[in-house]
Amino acid sequence: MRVRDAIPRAGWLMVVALWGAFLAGMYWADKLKFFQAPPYLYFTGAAGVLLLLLAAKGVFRPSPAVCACGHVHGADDVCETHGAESDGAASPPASDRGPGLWTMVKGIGLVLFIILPVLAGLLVPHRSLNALAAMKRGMGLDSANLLDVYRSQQRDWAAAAGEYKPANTLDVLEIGRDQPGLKVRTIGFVYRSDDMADDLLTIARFKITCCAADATPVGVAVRTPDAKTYTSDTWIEVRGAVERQTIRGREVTVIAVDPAEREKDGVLEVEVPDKPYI
Amino acid sequence: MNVDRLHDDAPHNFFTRLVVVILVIVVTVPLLGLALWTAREALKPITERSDTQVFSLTFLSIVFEALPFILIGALLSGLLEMFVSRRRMLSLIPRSRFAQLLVGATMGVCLPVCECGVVVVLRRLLKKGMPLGMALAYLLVAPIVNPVVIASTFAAFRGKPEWLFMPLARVGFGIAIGMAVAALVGRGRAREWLKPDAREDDNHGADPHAGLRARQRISAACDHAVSEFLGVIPFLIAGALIAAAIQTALPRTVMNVVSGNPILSVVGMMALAVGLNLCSEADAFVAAGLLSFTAVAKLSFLVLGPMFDIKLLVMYGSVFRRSLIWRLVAAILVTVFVVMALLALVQQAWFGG
Repeated sequence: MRVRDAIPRAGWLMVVALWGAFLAGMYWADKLKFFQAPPYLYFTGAAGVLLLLLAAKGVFRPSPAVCACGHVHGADDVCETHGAESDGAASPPASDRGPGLWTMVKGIGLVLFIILPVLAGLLVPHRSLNALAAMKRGMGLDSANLLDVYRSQQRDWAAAAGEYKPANTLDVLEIGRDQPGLKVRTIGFVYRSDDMADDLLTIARFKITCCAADATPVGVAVRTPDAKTYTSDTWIEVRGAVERQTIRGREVTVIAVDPAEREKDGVLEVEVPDKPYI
Repeated sequence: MNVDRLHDDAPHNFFTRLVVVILVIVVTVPLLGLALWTAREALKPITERSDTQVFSLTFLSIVFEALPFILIGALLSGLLEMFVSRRRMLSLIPRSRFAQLLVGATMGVCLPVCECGVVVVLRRLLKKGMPLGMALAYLLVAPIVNPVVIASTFAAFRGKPEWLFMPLARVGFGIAIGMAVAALVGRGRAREWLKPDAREDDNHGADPHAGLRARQRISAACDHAVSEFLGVIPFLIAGALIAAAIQTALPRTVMNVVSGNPILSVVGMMALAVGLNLCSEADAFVAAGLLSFTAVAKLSFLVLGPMFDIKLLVMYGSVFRRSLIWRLVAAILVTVFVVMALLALVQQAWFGG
């Protein structure tokens, strides 16, 4: 008897329904945005609905009859295929007495393994990728080299309304390259390492293409006298002028916060934005 | 929760089933909720840690990303099972081996799936009697010639010197290397290298589903799809766990060590492709961001990634026996390395690096 057969068909259908409910629920609760970029998270939500439908179909409209291929469609077919069981080992002859205890344990283990992502999703409080991930993925004071890969959407920054133009960190890098001097406000998380000067911090957002596995941190240096007081992973909004400054022999884009302005709203702690990634 | 007799031939009617389903939901949901809430509180010291969160986020994002495509692959596989008979399949396969490999490699344009979905479809194709070499060519090349992948490669290198070279070379070398590997590995007795469930059906070309109406076929295809889905998902989960561990533990900056040497950087980028386990639709953007690497090193990343990574290694286990997997992996790694190293040397000789 194979491991998969230890779990009755109804059990497998419940697993499928659980997965479907989990994915649809994550989409519904707007949690998928921490994991995936726009078109892809719709696919994942749709996959959840589809799994629910397939499970419901399996319960209410199991497909008919046995056909010559030997599969019993709709009955044991759900567990007909290929599990993680080791093949090659001589499998004991199928018996009608039901699964042995050990097979049953392995079957339950397989089910638990299959719903492991569901458990992880429900047990771990998920937030957007943090400064630790930024460090692992190569984070510097400034990520201007990414401008060769990504482009910001907007072009005509000078014409944008307001004294401080709302821009994401990628936009700020582009402004720094093309039209320094503009004033901007931008949101991101703080990334600070011990080797940074006391009045410097990096404000960063992750750029994701498909999912968090391909996320790349996009950071801009911020010069503000109280930089040292902000700890990594705090989300802040910074207002200041975009400048080119030479830091450690390299010319980088810096948001310089006016010391007078800082007292009012140069650097504000904020909530994690609705779209954590750019 | 003894609902395992649900599938009995006894004519349960719709309302009996509905009552059972509602009962199951009413009983299990509050219990599960309570258990989860307790576990969530108990595990807080672990789940609040930064590295746990990065790990879990990466793990789940790989699973979420692959899941819809696996489901599409599973549905495609179910439809193949129910609507394409073995006889029809055999009539579509060209006679000459080279033509088989070429068709297998380019089939991905019209049966487009990315690397996660392709494994599921592959098993069904083999079951229907597709020669191993042709199926391998499809497996290795389909995620590269997928139109979405080609478009995203163009997009990632847009406006850069390699913008034309990279997508063309990716497709060209992908097809050539995939066909070479498939020709090398796909010879001999296919049956012994496949898991029992992937072996060709032995029904002499007759359509086992003859006599079923289209509606019944679609219905059965759905159940097949559920089955396929459950069959392949443990492999995806295992692969994603390993991939997430690598991503969380290893800083990407270790790559800077090898970027100076043309040969070493090819090796380094190949290792990165295996370790990162990116979807072939996204990998071009990551490659384009690694500016300190040569075009050839990036190309080796883009060609190898869709053919082989940790997640795929585990997923291949759902179709092939170990002896074939090792041959396949060795052939892929050696071929990609040799071709890319030669290319790197040529580039260095002609353009001075």
